[in-house]
Amino acid sequence: MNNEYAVAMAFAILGSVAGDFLVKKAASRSQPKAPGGLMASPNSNSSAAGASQGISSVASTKSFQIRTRWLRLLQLIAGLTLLTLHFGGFLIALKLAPVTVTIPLMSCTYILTTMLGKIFLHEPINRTRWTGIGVIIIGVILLELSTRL
Amino acid sequence: MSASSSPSGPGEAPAGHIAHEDRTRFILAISIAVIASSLGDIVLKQGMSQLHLPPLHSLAAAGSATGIALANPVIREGIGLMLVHFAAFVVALRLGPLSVVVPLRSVTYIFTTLMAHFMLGEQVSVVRWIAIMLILMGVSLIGRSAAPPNE
Repeated sequence: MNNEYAVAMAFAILGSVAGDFLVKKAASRSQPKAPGGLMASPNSNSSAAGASQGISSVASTKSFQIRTRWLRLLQLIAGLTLLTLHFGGFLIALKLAPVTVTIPLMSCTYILTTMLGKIFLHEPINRTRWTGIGVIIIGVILLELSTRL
Repeated sequence: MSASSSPSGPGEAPAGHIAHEDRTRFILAISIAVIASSLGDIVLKQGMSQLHLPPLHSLAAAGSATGIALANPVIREGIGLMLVHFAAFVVALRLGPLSVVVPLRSVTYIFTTLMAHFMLGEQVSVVRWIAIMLILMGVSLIGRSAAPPNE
């Protein structure tokens, strides 16, 4: 895996994970509770569906609402910027390697999403999820090997 | 939309339950989402292969390369397909349970690989197929682990 491809994939994967996360945060009405919250993206490499997660009981003071609105706007802009970077990296990665390598490699976003969910949202990770991640890691290693053989 | 109450929240189908009249629309949405996603990936790859980009030694060069790419009509077709996929996916999410929709994304890995082999002529070794199958299973497992416990 040469340097340019690694950089391109880094942008593609990190941009997708961070961008999805921020756009969902900007669009959500309350804290996402379901562990599937970060999984409900149309694609591991496209922008978020932004589904709202239930009715919130936000404080109704006006300054709070204005602050929240600006914060959400910032999150949305940051998220969209990151998603643009993601797409740029994705396009370049598509040029540099076969699509049968790049597309499966994008599944690394699931690994990162799970890690982020655990660290920032304190989502519990059950055994099935850990197994899934382990299987993906083995698959990615094999995928890398398949490019060398 | 079914009128049953559920913890899924507004706009999502009740867990594990698809209203009868929605079922056809759900299958249609899922099918379109999968095909559009795979086809979009293929078209984007084809478009990028045709482009002659300057050597990507800096981030600025990468930025201008992306600009060149976005002006290309084939790339724009690919983007259009991705948008179709996005729309179909959102519809599918509204019509069906999350635990069915998410693992279905694993299917796109197979579709994309097959399309790449037959439409783009990419060689897919046995090792790579095994790798893709493993990744697909892993994604399915993660998708199933995200299902609400009452499914």
